[in-house]
Amino acid sequence: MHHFMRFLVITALLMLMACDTDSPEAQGGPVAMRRLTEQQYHNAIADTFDSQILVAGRFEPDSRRLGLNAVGASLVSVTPSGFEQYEAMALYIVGQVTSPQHRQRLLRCQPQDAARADDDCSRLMLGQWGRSLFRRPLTQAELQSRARIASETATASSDFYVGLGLALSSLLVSPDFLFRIEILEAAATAEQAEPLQLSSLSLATRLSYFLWNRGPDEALIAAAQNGELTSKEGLKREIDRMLASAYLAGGVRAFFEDVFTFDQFTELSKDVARYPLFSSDIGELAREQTLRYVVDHFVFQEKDYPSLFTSRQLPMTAQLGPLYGLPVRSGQNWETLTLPASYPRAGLLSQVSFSMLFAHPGRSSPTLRGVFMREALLCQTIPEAPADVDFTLFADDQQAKYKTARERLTQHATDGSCIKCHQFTDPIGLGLEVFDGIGKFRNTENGAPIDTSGDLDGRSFANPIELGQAFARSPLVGACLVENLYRYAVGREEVNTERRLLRYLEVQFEQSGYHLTELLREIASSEGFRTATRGDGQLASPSGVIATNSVGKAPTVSMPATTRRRESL
Amino acid sequence: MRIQLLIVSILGLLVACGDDSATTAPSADILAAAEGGEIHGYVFSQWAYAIPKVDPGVCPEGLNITEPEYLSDEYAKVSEESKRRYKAGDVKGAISILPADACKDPSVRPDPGHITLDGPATIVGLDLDGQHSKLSAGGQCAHEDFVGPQGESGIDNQYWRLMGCVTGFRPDGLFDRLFATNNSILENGYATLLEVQLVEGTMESGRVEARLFTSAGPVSKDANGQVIRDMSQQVHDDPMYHSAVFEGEITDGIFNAGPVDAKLRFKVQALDNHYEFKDLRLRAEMQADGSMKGVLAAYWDITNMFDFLTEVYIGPIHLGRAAANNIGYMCAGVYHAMPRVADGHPDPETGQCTSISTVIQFAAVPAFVIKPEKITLAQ
Amino acid sequence: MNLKRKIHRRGFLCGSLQGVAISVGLPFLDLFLNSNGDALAATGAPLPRRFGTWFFGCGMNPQRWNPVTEGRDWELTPELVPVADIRDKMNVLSGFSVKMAGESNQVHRTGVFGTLCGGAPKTAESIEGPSLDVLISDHVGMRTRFRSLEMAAMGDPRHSNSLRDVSSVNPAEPSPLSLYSRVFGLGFSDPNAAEFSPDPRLLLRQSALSIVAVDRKRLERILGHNDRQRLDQYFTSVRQLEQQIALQLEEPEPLAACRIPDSPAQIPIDSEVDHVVANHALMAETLALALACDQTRVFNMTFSNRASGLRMPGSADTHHTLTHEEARDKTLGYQPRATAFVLRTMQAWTSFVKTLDAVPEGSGSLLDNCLVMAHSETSEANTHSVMGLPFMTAGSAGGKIRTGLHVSGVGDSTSRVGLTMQQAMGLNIGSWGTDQNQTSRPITEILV
Repeated sequence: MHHFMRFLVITALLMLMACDTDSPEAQGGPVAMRRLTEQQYHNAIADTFDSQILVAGRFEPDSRRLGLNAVGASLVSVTPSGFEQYEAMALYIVGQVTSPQHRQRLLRCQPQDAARADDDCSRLMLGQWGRSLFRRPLTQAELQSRARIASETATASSDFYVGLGLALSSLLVSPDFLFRIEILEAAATAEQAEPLQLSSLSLATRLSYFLWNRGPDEALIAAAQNGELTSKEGLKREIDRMLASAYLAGGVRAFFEDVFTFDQFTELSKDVARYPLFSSDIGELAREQTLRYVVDHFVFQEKDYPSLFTSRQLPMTAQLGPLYGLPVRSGQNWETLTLPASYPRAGLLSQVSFSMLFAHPGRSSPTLRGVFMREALLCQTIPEAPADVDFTLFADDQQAKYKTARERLTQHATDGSCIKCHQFTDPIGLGLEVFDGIGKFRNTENGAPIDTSGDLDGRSFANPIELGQAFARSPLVGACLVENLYRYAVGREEVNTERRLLRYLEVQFEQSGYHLTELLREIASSEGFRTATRGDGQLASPSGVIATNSVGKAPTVSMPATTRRRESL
Repeated sequence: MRIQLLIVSILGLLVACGDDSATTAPSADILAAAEGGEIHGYVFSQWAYAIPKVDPGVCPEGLNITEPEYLSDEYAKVSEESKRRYKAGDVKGAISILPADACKDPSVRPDPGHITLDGPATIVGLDLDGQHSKLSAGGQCAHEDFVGPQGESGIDNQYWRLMGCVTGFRPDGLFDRLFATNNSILENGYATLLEVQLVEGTMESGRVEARLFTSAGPVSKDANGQVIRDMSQQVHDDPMYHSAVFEGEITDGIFNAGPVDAKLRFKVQALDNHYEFKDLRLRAEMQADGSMKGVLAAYWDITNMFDFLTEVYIGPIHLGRAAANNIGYMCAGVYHAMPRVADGHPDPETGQCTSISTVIQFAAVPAFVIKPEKITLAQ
Repeated sequence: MNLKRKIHRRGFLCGSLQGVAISVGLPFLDLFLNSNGDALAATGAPLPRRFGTWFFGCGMNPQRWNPVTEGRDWELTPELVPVADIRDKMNVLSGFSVKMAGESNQVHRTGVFGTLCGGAPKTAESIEGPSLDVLISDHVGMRTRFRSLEMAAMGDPRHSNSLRDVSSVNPAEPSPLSLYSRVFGLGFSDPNAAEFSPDPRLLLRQSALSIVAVDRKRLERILGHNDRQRLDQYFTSVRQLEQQIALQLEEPEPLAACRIPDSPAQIPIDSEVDHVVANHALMAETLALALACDQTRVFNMTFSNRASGLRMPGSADTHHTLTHEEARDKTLGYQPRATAFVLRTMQAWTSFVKTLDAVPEGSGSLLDNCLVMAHSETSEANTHSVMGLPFMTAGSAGGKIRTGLHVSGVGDSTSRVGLTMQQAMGLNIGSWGTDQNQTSRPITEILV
């Protein structure tokens, strides 16, 4: 019954909030210093030079906190081997940019004499590149030191391009490029009362990474420099422009890739004896399919969040056809199929990406699937399984006694300590049991029929399609998306002063008919997003123990917020 | 619910085009299926000449010899120099001093003879001509039928008479070993597709119309090197590789269809050609998992057959003779033996038969046969 | 680019950048593109690292060659018995295949060029170069006297699979004597007698890093406590790289094992297997000293050619023709005469690895600072199969490769092997290969 109680509480809270239509005053939390992700680094190079300049190298692994790499990015640094890689990548990029093949195209000026220094030309280019890489104009001192080394090296080597390249390489390994370092408005002094404003340029960067997953373009930097972002109208104009941009798709994609923990696909492997259809290519395509689905749903079709769980539009490619048992007309390209009502899949959760990612190498896992749905989609926290669990029952899933996962889990979760968690994860995870460890449809396991019925916090379902419908109707999914998206935007957990803002955003999201673009707009315009405190307080201790206590959470348990990959059922 | 049945229920699905999203009309086959009943597609997953393991027949005169053995004196004169040139990188020069190449032009020398398998043997196949043929009956196309493993009589497989005494075709010979790796399927640049449309009854017992295609690309293989089921396979652009519709029936799980003429493209290792089959028939057992397994029997056009054997290239170098030496026959011998064993399609003027009955053992797994809109479906 | 020009150390003080010396007159143009490989390769270890391929024709019998057990202490199989002595110094990589999508299997070509170039050749004439060794030598071989050395134990200069593109195949040295003359003949100068010339590229990198350090004070002022700690770690990483570079600017230890060998004995050069084995052994000895004297850091040894022309004494049948023509022995289940060549080949590989291992270097052996990849163009030659090609590696690449392992690729592309070789040699790439043979997954089991 307590589920229902909680629902009442939330509803009451939402109703209380509903009359408050202005974005509440909400002092934002501490500024963040975020390491660029691999995709953001790629985008920066493409934006600074062009897409012909290749990036080659290994990036340090991201770190997930509160379920998001975007939050972990505020906690990670650069290791020695990671820095070696950054330096090597920088040299490789510089080599291309200054090569005869590319420099004509990429340089806006030519040296008077390629065998000598040309201070004007190197300043022009270093200023342009620096502005794009640092997401702000270089300071006089920064430009001066680079221009000098360009000059001296050009003279010493009798090659203008060597000097220019050397100076460029120093930009590419600089912490101002590799980290997005947020600063407060210059006027803010230690004495000044809060709320403190982010500097216009830091706000521009926050906006562009939030909405585009890339650095600010020229127009946005110019708007920031002209002080336009400090006025309500000016800020709105830029946000509108950004939401209408083709880059929005990349931003939406990056957010959901983060929430869905899809970075785990790079290391996903399966027992090919059991799943010969699996290959790392198939894994990549499954991931791509879901991301295309999400971007298409929100950005191109402008559909609402609940219908993400029920839509029958499915991007398909020939190689995925056998997994779905569907015909695909085009040989190489993606095409969108409209699934008929009789087909046993619909919506996000029945896509093979989730089935294969949240499963074991040789079998499905209702528990892992349940944990994912609870944590990523409902923002509920499930503790790690205790270390001493006996998994032998599951290791042999072809045994005669317990034919289906439901029977095995029932056997396991009768125990008092286990049932506390499994009662949350398994009933919904079992709703996807007709999808095996790589997402292929099946009706039986070891000859016994699979029962996919269950309930999601009081909403019963009989099969994956109805499970999707239950998610679509859950009051928690919208609130959870708001929470994830806000944390993604600011790179940290919300602070106390922001909780009221989150409630307000939930209401706005609901009133917009759950349209993602509206939520993005609300967050980007909110006070919490453009104000901040100094960074001294920073979040979360290094051990990663983070207490969550927002409204609407089921079991609130402190847990080491590491990755969600875990050794459990 | 098996996937195969699922397919039927989803045939009504609309196909909208990709990414960049203009909606296209539903495809012809899907529509046709929705209106006209079930279509079942298959992609061939195994392909091998029938080579009998038990009772392959005897070759009292021994096995065929190769050209270097037959023309040993002539080869002896030039072999040192040829090897020297080959070693120096002059492959063309090395070949040019060898005796004239009958694999390029079989008329360069008289018939050196070719040992055929004339006695009885037990071999799978079909009775293509519907008669129990006897060599003793005489006439230009006279031939002696084989008996099948289950005692079936009237089996036409003159290809085995032609190749049964060739080293590479004997049990455990080169072809047996090649087929053990299923290389005709797995290394083929194309796939062979079969489309079966149910006209009446069920897939256990019913009347069907069928069609054979070469695909646009190869089969897809899973991690274990097996052909992937339920893959969408496009048909080849060239209508030459689309057979006409032919009729068939399924009786107690046995699929029988044909006859039909078909060209089936193969590109495997040094070979790039197609089979030109006439009056092709299929007989296969429908398997519980939705696949089928059986024989393809047809009359193989002898001109095409000779090309198929000899048009072997590595780069620009014609290596038909090397292949013949490797497999164990002489091109000139086979060339002259072909009309002697030919049993099909007599030339209307001369009465000389122009094709040779041949048997392929095959398996096929469910697939989606994807055809461009412009190809009209079977009537 | 000739970076071999000797520059006296004192000659460096011609221009000065923030206290870092830089010399004039060197050709700098493409220095950035090629600068990282050898520099990083030498990180913390002044000894050079080398890469080589060792090619043998006509593969093996998969059922008799592929180990069944994986990981360490894999069980020897009948055709790998000859490598027993070097098992701890090598790896077996089985089950990797050249993937074909529409390309036909071009017999005796697809397997080798698919492996070396990261993609199956599209037509009988084409090869999408460069080959793996060229990619690696572009990175680690630019500063030595020879970009790479190619050798053919069967005496045919065309027995080389090393190429930049289809029209520029690097010819092989066809005899021990020609290899010896090339390395130790005219033009050889004792590396221990020469003056040390630090790589000017290192100086440039140092000066670029020195600018970054200037930013530190400014950032520290604006950052909170935790972010300052993260910034400290970043600068610790910068300093570590600066120290690595400084280490490389110091004059290295003399190459202790470098000596000029005697001119090799002359043995008939032909395809008879005993002669090939003997010539191969002589070449291996010369090569080992060429490596010890740092004359090259990349090599390609062709033990037997594609479609192996090896012959037994007194027999006209080559290994290749036997794989096609010899009947499979009914009891044994394989072709005994053809298989005899597989065993001879594995013995030759073992002797090759032992030769490199016999040269002391640093605290270990030359082999420890090498990475040698043995490969072939087929698995079962009889059917020209390119599925499950045989691979072996030897040496630990200066600590970058784990040895003693068998890894099964279960049908994955051979590009995974090539990617692993490149990453172990310090190439800065995340993925390699084309179409179906494109991969971003190195064989992490053997990468340290």
